[in-house]
Amino acid sequence: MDRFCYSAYGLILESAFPLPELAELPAAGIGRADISIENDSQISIASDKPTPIECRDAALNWVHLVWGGVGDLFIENGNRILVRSVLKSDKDAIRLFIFGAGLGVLLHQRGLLVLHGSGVALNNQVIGFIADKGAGKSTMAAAFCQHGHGFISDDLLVVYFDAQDKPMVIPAPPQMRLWLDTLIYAGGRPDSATRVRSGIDKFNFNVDSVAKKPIPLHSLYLLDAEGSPHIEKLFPSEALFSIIPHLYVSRFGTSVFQKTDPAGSFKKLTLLSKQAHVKRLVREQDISQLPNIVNLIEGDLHSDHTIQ
Amino acid sequence: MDNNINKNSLLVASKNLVATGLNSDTAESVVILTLQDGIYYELKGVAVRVWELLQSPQSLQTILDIILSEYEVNAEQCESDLLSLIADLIRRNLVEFVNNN
Repeated sequence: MDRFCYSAYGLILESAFPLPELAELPAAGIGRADISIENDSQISIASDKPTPIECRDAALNWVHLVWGGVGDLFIENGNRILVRSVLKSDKDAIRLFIFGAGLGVLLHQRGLLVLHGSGVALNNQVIGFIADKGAGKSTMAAAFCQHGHGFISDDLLVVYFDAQDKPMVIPAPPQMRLWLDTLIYAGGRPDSATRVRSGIDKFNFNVDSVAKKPIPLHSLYLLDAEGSPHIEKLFPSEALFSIIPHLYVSRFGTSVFQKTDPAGSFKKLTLLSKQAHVKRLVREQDISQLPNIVNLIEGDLHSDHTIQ
Repeated sequence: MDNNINKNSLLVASKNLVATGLNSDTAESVVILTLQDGIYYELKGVAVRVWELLQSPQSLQTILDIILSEYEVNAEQCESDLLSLIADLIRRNLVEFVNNN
Protein backbone atom coordinates (compact mmCIF):
# COMPACT_ATOMS: atom_id res chain seq x y z
CA MET A 1 0.00 0.00 0.00
CA ASP A 2 1.23 3.46 -0.87
CA ARG A 3 2.56 5.62 1.92
CA PHE A 4 3.12 9.36 1.65
CA CYS A 5 5.79 11.36 3.39
CA TYR A 6 5.78 15.09 4.21
CA SER A 7 7.27 17.68 6.48
CA ALA A 8 5.26 20.02 8.69
CA TYR A 9 6.23 22.09 11.74
CA GLY A 10 9.77 20.74 11.52
CA LEU A 11 8.54 17.15 11.86
CA ILE A 12 8.39 14.23 9.44
CA LEU A 13 4.87 13.09 8.81
CA GLU A 14 3.87 9.80 7.22
CA SER A 15 0.35 9.33 5.90
CA ALA A 16 -1.83 6.56 4.52
CA PHE A 17 -3.30 9.03 2.04
CA PRO A 18 -2.03 12.08 0.13
CA LEU A 19 -1.86 15.48 1.88
CA PRO A 20 -1.10 17.76 -1.08
CA GLU A 21 -1.09 20.90 1.10
CA LEU A 22 2.19 19.80 2.71
CA ALA A 23 5.76 19.79 1.41
CA GLU A 24 6.48 16.30 0.11
CA LEU A 25 9.57 14.44 1.26
CA PRO A 26 11.30 11.53 -0.50
CA ALA A 27 9.75 8.20 0.39
CA ALA A 28 13.01 7.46 2.23
CA GLY A 29 11.48 9.27 5.18
CA ILE A 30 8.95 6.48 5.65
CA GLY A 31 9.67 4.49 8.76
CA ARG A 32 11.51 7.41 10.34
CA ALA A 33 8.47 9.61 10.71
CA ASP A 34 7.68 11.58 13.88
CA ILE A 35 3.96 11.45 13.16
CA SER A 36 1.82 8.89 11.36
CA ILE A 37 -1.66 9.46 10.02
CA GLU A 38 -3.73 6.33 9.53
CA ASN A 39 -7.16 5.43 8.23
CA ASP A 40 -9.33 3.36 10.50
CA SER A 41 -11.62 0.83 8.87
CA GLN A 42 -14.43 1.46 11.34
CA ILE A 43 -17.17 3.87 10.43
CA SER A 44 -17.27 7.19 12.26
CA ILE A 45 -19.67 7.79 15.13
CA ALA A 46 -20.05 11.38 13.94
CA SER A 47 -23.52 12.39 12.82
CA ASP A 48 -24.10 13.01 9.11
CA LYS A 49 -25.19 16.54 9.92
CA PRO A 50 -22.63 19.32 10.27
CA THR A 51 -21.77 20.19 13.88
CA PRO A 52 -18.90 22.14 15.43
CA ILE A 53 -15.80 20.10 16.26
CA GLU A 54 -16.04 18.76 19.80
CA CYS A 55 -13.94 16.69 22.16
CA ARG A 56 -15.69 13.42 22.95
CA ASP A 57 -13.08 12.08 25.36
CA ALA A 58 -9.62 13.00 26.57
CA ALA A 59 -6.85 11.44 28.63
CA LEU A 60 -3.22 12.31 29.24
CA ASN A 61 -2.02 11.02 25.85
CA TRP A 62 -5.24 10.39 24.03
CA VAL A 63 -7.89 12.71 22.60
CA HIS A 64 -11.01 11.79 20.63
CA LEU A 65 -12.48 14.58 18.48
CA VAL A 66 -15.72 14.41 16.53
CA TRP A 67 -16.83 16.65 13.69
CA GLY A 68 -20.39 16.10 12.49
CA GLY A 69 -20.60 15.48 8.75
CA VAL A 70 -16.87 14.73 8.58
CA GLY A 71 -15.60 12.11 11.00
CA ASP A 72 -13.57 11.29 14.11
CA LEU A 73 -9.93 11.82 14.94
CA PHE A 74 -8.09 9.84 17.61
CA ILE A 75 -4.92 11.72 18.49
CA GLU A 76 -2.42 9.64 20.45
CA ASN A 77 0.89 10.18 22.23
CA GLY A 78 1.84 13.19 20.14
CA ASN A 79 2.74 10.88 17.28
CA ARG A 80 -0.33 9.33 15.70
CA ILE A 81 -3.67 10.44 14.28
CA LEU A 82 -6.25 7.79 13.49
CA VAL A 83 -8.98 8.93 11.09
CA ARG A 84 -12.51 7.58 10.93
CA SER A 85 -14.58 9.12 8.16
CA VAL A 86 -18.32 9.33 7.86
CA LEU A 87 -19.81 7.55 4.84
CA LYS A 88 -19.46 9.68 1.70
CA SER A 89 -16.88 11.77 3.49
CA ASP A 90 -15.47 14.90 2.00
CA LYS A 91 -11.69 14.38 1.74
CA ASP A 92 -11.01 18.13 1.82
CA ALA A 93 -12.87 18.42 5.11
CA ILE A 94 -10.94 15.48 6.58
CA ARG A 95 -7.65 17.20 5.71
CA LEU A 96 -8.89 20.48 7.23
CA PHE A 97 -9.76 18.51 10.35
CA ILE A 98 -6.27 16.98 10.48
CA PHE A 99 -4.35 20.21 9.77
CA GLY A 100 -6.33 22.27 12.28
CA ALA A 101 -7.70 20.42 15.29
CA GLY A 102 -5.69 17.20 14.69
CA LEU A 103 -2.22 18.75 14.52
CA GLY A 104 -3.20 21.41 17.06
CA VAL A 105 -3.90 18.73 19.68
CA LEU A 106 -0.99 16.52 18.59
CA LEU A 107 1.57 19.34 18.88
CA HIS A 108 0.09 20.21 22.30
CA GLN A 109 0.60 16.57 23.33
CA ARG A 110 4.25 16.93 22.27
CA GLY A 111 4.67 19.66 24.88
CA LEU A 112 4.62 22.59 22.47
CA LEU A 113 2.64 25.71 23.28
CA VAL A 114 0.04 25.82 20.50
CA LEU A 115 -1.98 29.01 20.14
CA HIS A 116 -4.91 29.61 17.82
CA GLY A 117 -3.35 32.43 15.90
CA SER A 118 -1.55 33.64 12.82
CA GLY A 119 1.98 34.94 12.48
CA VAL A 120 4.37 36.75 10.18
CA ALA A 121 8.10 37.42 10.27
CA LEU A 122 9.48 40.98 10.27
CA ASN A 123 13.26 41.39 10.44
CA ASN A 124 13.61 37.83 11.67
CA GLN A 125 11.15 38.33 14.53
CA VAL A 126 7.65 36.93 14.68
CA ILE A 127 4.57 39.06 15.17
CA GLY A 128 1.58 36.93 16.13
CA PHE A 129 -2.14 37.68 16.00
CA ILE A 130 -4.51 35.95 18.38
CA ALA A 131 -8.26 36.19 18.00
CA ASP A 132 -11.51 34.32 17.94
CA LYS A 133 -12.58 32.57 14.77
CA GLY A 134 -13.44 35.02 12.03
CA ALA A 135 -11.79 38.04 13.66
CA GLY A 136 -9.21 38.48 10.92
CA LYS A 137 -6.13 36.42 11.81
CA SER A 138 -5.54 35.15 8.27
CA THR A 139 -6.31 38.55 6.80
CA MET A 140 -3.62 40.15 8.98
CA ALA A 141 -1.09 37.51 7.89
CA ALA A 142 -2.04 38.04 4.24
CA ALA A 143 -1.64 41.81 4.59
CA PHE A 144 1.90 41.47 5.96
CA CYS A 145 2.87 38.97 3.25
CA GLN A 146 1.51 41.43 0.69
CA HIS A 147 3.99 43.96 2.12
CA GLY A 148 6.91 41.60 1.61
CA HIS A 149 7.10 40.07 5.08
CA GLY A 150 7.52 36.33 5.67
CA PHE A 151 4.66 33.96 6.32
CA ILE A 152 4.70 31.98 9.57
CA SER A 153 1.19 30.63 10.06
CA ASP A 154 -2.45 31.46 9.56
CA ASP A 155 -4.03 29.11 12.09
CA LEU A 156 -1.63 27.44 14.54
CA LEU A 157 1.07 29.46 16.23
CA VAL A 158 3.40 26.77 17.52
CA VAL A 159 5.84 27.92 20.19
CA TYR A 160 8.66 26.34 22.17
CA PHE A 161 11.11 27.93 24.60
CA ASP A 162 14.85 27.86 23.94
CA ALA A 163 17.54 27.29 26.59
CA GLN A 164 17.26 30.95 27.65
CA ASP A 165 13.45 30.64 27.90
CA LYS A 166 12.95 32.81 24.82
CA PRO A 167 9.80 31.87 22.87
CA MET A 168 10.50 30.53 19.36
CA VAL A 169 7.83 30.01 16.69
CA ILE A 170 7.91 27.00 14.37
CA PRO A 171 6.68 28.02 10.88
CA ALA A 172 3.58 26.29 9.53
CA PRO A 173 3.21 24.71 6.08
CA PRO A 174 3.24 27.48 3.42
CA GLN A 175 -0.45 27.72 2.75
CA MET A 176 -3.09 30.19 3.87
CA ARG A 177 -6.84 29.79 3.84
CA LEU A 178 -8.43 33.04 2.82
CA TRP A 179 -11.94 34.36 2.36
CA LEU A 180 -12.74 35.58 -1.14
CA ASP A 181 -12.17 39.30 -0.50
CA THR A 182 -8.80 38.68 1.20
CA LEU A 183 -7.79 36.24 -1.53
CA ILE A 184 -8.31 38.94 -4.16
CA TYR A 185 -6.51 41.49 -1.97
CA ALA A 186 -3.55 39.11 -1.61
CA GLY A 187 -3.29 38.70 -5.37
CA GLY A 188 -4.95 35.30 -5.63
CA ARG A 189 -7.21 34.33 -8.51
CA PRO A 190 -10.65 33.06 -7.45
CA ASP A 191 -11.19 31.32 -10.82
CA SER A 192 -8.13 29.10 -10.43
CA ALA A 193 -7.87 28.86 -6.60
CA THR A 194 -9.14 25.71 -4.91
CA ARG A 195 -11.74 25.99 -2.20
CA VAL A 196 -10.73 24.61 1.20
CA ARG A 197 -13.99 22.68 1.12
CA SER A 198 -16.70 22.57 -1.48
CA GLY A 199 -19.53 24.97 -0.80
CA ILE A 200 -17.63 27.60 1.20
CA ASP A 201 -16.00 30.76 -0.10
CA LYS A 202 -12.65 30.12 1.52
CA PHE A 203 -9.69 29.33 -0.68
CA ASN A 204 -6.24 27.79 -0.40
CA PHE A 205 -3.53 30.28 -1.20
CA ASN A 206 0.10 29.25 -1.55
CA VAL A 207 2.67 31.54 -0.01
CA ASP A 208 6.03 32.30 -1.61
CA SER A 209 7.93 33.81 1.26
CA VAL A 210 8.27 31.17 3.92
CA ALA A 211 10.51 30.94 6.94
CA LYS A 212 12.39 27.64 7.16
CA LYS A 213 13.58 27.69 10.75
CA PRO A 214 12.07 28.67 14.09
CA ILE A 215 12.11 32.43 14.65
CA PRO A 216 11.96 34.34 17.96
CA LEU A 217 8.53 35.61 18.93
CA HIS A 218 8.56 39.36 19.51
CA SER A 219 4.92 40.40 20.00
CA LEU A 220 1.42 39.04 20.17
CA TYR A 221 -1.42 41.30 19.13
CA LEU A 222 -4.88 40.56 20.42
CA LEU A 223 -7.58 41.29 17.83
CA ASP A 224 -10.69 41.80 19.93
CA ALA A 225 -11.62 45.44 19.54
CA GLU A 226 -12.79 47.66 16.73
CA GLY A 227 -12.26 51.38 16.53
CA SER A 228 -9.88 53.94 15.15
CA PRO A 229 -6.57 52.09 14.72
CA HIS A 230 -4.15 52.15 17.63
CA ILE A 231 -2.18 49.81 19.86
CA GLU A 232 -2.79 49.41 23.60
CA LYS A 233 -0.39 47.99 26.12
CA LEU A 234 -1.78 45.41 28.53
CA PHE A 235 -1.02 44.89 32.20
CA PRO A 236 0.87 41.62 32.81
CA SER A 237 -2.18 39.77 34.16
CA GLU A 238 -4.35 41.17 31.34
CA ALA A 239 -1.75 39.86 28.90
CA LEU A 240 -1.91 36.40 30.44
CA PHE A 241 -5.72 36.35 30.51
CA SER A 242 -5.74 37.47 26.88
CA ILE A 243 -3.58 34.56 25.78
CA ILE A 244 -5.26 31.79 27.81
CA PRO A 245 -8.48 31.56 25.72
CA HIS A 246 -6.36 31.26 22.57
CA LEU A 247 -4.41 28.25 23.75
CA TYR A 248 -5.44 25.89 20.96
CA VAL A 249 -6.91 23.20 23.19
CA SER A 250 -9.08 25.80 24.97
CA ARG A 251 -11.47 25.53 22.03
CA PHE A 252 -12.61 22.21 23.53
CA GLY A 253 -13.53 23.83 26.83
CA THR A 254 -11.41 22.58 29.72
CA SER A 255 -11.58 18.85 28.82
CA VAL A 256 -8.30 18.52 26.90
CA PHE A 257 -6.48 21.21 28.89
CA GLN A 258 -7.33 19.57 32.22
CA LYS A 259 -6.18 16.10 31.13
CA THR A 260 -2.91 17.09 29.49
CA ASP A 261 -0.58 18.55 32.13
CA PRO A 262 -2.45 21.79 32.96
CA ALA A 263 0.36 22.90 35.29
CA GLY A 264 2.85 22.61 32.41
CA SER A 265 0.58 24.58 30.07
CA PHE A 266 0.08 27.25 32.74
CA LYS A 267 3.83 27.65 33.17
CA LYS A 268 4.34 28.00 29.41
CA LEU A 269 1.50 30.52 29.13
CA THR A 270 2.87 32.66 31.96
CA LEU A 271 6.37 32.48 30.50
CA LEU A 272 5.00 33.58 27.14
CA SER A 273 3.10 36.48 28.71
CA LYS A 274 6.33 37.64 30.33
CA GLN A 275 8.71 37.03 27.41
CA ALA A 276 6.66 38.43 24.53
CA HIS A 277 5.06 41.85 24.21
CA VAL A 278 1.33 41.25 24.42
CA LYS A 279 -0.79 44.13 23.15
CA ARG A 280 -4.23 44.91 21.88
CA LEU A 281 -4.55 46.02 18.27
CA VAL A 282 -7.67 48.13 17.84
CA ARG A 283 -8.64 48.46 14.19
CA GLU A 284 -11.47 48.75 11.73
CA GLN A 285 -12.27 45.54 9.90
CA ASP A 286 -11.99 47.25 6.54
CA ILE A 287 -9.75 45.69 3.94
CA SER A 288 -8.79 49.10 2.53
CA GLN A 289 -7.28 49.98 5.95
CA LEU A 290 -4.86 47.03 5.95
CA PRO A 291 -1.82 48.96 4.61
CA ASN A 292 -2.26 51.47 7.45
CA ILE A 293 -2.45 48.67 10.00
CA VAL A 294 0.75 47.15 8.63
CA ASN A 295 2.47 50.56 8.93
CA LEU A 296 1.16 50.97 12.47
CA ILE A 297 2.63 47.63 13.57
CA GLU A 298 5.91 48.15 11.69
CA GLY A 299 6.25 51.46 13.57
CA ASP A 300 5.37 49.80 16.89
CA LEU A 301 8.05 47.16 16.33
CA HIS A 302 10.68 49.82 15.57
CA SER A 303 9.77 51.78 18.69
CA ASP A 304 10.19 48.69 20.89
CA HIS A 305 13.83 48.19 21.63
CA THR A 306 13.35 46.27 24.81
CA ILE A 307 13.44 42.81 23.24
CA GLN A 308 16.49 41.55 21.43
CA MET B 1 -11.86 19.07 60.43
CA ASP B 2 -12.85 22.26 62.16
CA ASN B 3 -13.97 24.67 59.49
CA ASN B 4 -14.51 27.63 61.80
CA ILE B 5 -11.77 30.13 61.34
CA ASN B 6 -10.32 31.73 64.43
CA LYS B 7 -7.15 33.65 65.06
CA ASN B 8 -5.25 30.49 65.96
CA SER B 9 -6.29 28.70 62.79
CA LEU B 10 -3.19 27.45 61.02
CA LEU B 11 -3.50 27.95 57.29
CA VAL B 12 -1.47 27.23 54.16
CA ALA B 13 -1.84 27.58 50.39
CA SER B 14 -3.26 24.41 48.81
CA LYS B 15 -0.95 22.08 46.93
CA ASN B 16 -3.25 21.31 44.05
CA LEU B 17 -2.71 24.54 42.17
CA VAL B 18 -0.12 26.51 40.24
CA ALA B 19 0.42 30.22 40.69
CA THR B 20 2.57 32.96 39.26
CA GLY B 21 3.37 36.52 40.25
CA LEU B 22 2.85 39.11 37.52
CA ASN B 23 4.22 42.54 38.22
CA SER B 24 4.34 45.81 36.34
CA ASP B 25 5.65 49.21 37.48
CA THR B 26 2.26 50.14 38.86
CA ALA B 27 0.58 46.91 39.91
CA GLU B 28 1.29 43.48 41.19
CA SER B 29 -0.90 40.45 41.09
CA VAL B 30 -0.86 36.71 41.50
CA VAL B 31 -2.64 34.48 39.01
CA ILE B 32 -3.65 31.05 40.26
CA LEU B 33 -4.90 28.00 38.36
CA THR B 34 -6.60 25.28 40.38
CA LEU B 35 -5.67 21.90 38.95
CA GLN B 36 -8.77 20.13 40.23
CA ASP B 37 -11.30 22.19 38.29
CA GLY B 38 -9.22 24.37 35.96
CA ILE B 39 -10.43 27.72 37.29
CA TYR B 40 -8.24 30.81 37.17
CA TYR B 41 -8.11 33.40 39.96
CA GLU B 42 -6.30 36.68 40.26
CA LEU B 43 -5.26 38.26 43.56
CA LYS B 44 -4.39 41.94 43.75
CA GLY B 45 -3.22 44.47 46.33
CA VAL B 46 -2.86 43.30 49.94
CA ALA B 47 -4.15 39.85 48.96
CA VAL B 48 -0.86 39.33 47.08
CA ARG B 49 1.04 39.80 50.35
CA VAL B 50 -1.36 37.47 52.19
CA TRP B 51 -0.83 34.85 49.49
CA GLU B 52 2.92 35.22 49.81
CA LEU B 53 2.69 34.62 53.58
CA LEU B 54 0.49 31.56 53.05
CA GLN B 55 3.22 29.80 51.10
CA SER B 56 4.21 28.36 54.47
CA PRO B 57 1.82 27.50 57.34
CA GLN B 58 0.74 30.62 59.26
CA SER B 59 -1.75 31.35 61.97
CA LEU B 60 -4.36 33.92 61.12
CA GLN B 61 -3.02 36.00 64.03
CA THR B 62 0.49 36.07 62.53
CA ILE B 63 -0.84 37.15 59.15
CA LEU B 64 -2.92 39.85 60.80
CA ASP B 65 0.08 41.14 62.79
CA ILE B 66 2.28 41.29 59.71
CA ILE B 67 -0.33 43.07 57.58
CA LEU B 68 -0.98 45.57 60.37
CA SER B 69 2.75 46.30 60.68
CA GLU B 70 3.21 46.73 56.92
CA TYR B 71 0.11 48.67 55.90
CA GLU B 72 -1.56 51.70 57.38
CA VAL B 73 -4.92 50.21 58.13
CA ASN B 74 -7.50 50.27 60.86
CA ALA B 75 -7.02 47.11 62.95
CA GLU B 76 -10.69 46.25 63.16
CA GLN B 77 -11.26 46.77 59.43
CA CYS B 78 -8.12 44.78 58.61
CA GLU B 79 -9.20 41.83 60.72
CA SER B 80 -12.64 41.76 59.19
CA ASP B 81 -11.30 42.07 55.61
CA LEU B 82 -8.69 39.40 56.25
CA LEU B 83 -11.26 37.02 57.68
CA SER B 84 -13.49 37.42 54.67
CA LEU B 85 -10.55 37.01 52.25
CA ILE B 86 -9.36 33.85 54.00
CA ALA B 87 -12.89 32.41 54.11
CA ASP B 88 -13.18 33.06 50.37
CA LEU B 89 -9.80 31.43 49.65
CA ILE B 90 -10.80 28.37 51.71
CA ARG B 91 -14.19 28.11 50.02
CA ARG B 92 -12.45 28.09 46.61
CA ASN B 93 -9.91 25.46 47.73
CA LEU B 94 -6.99 27.84 47.34
CA VAL B 95 -6.10 27.70 51.04
CA GLU B 96 -6.50 24.89 53.57
CA PHE B 97 -6.27 24.31 57.29
CA VAL B 98 -3.14 22.70 58.69
CA ASN B 99 -3.85 20.16 61.41
CA ASN B 100 -6.06 22.60 63.27
CA ASN B 101 -6.21 21.60 66.95
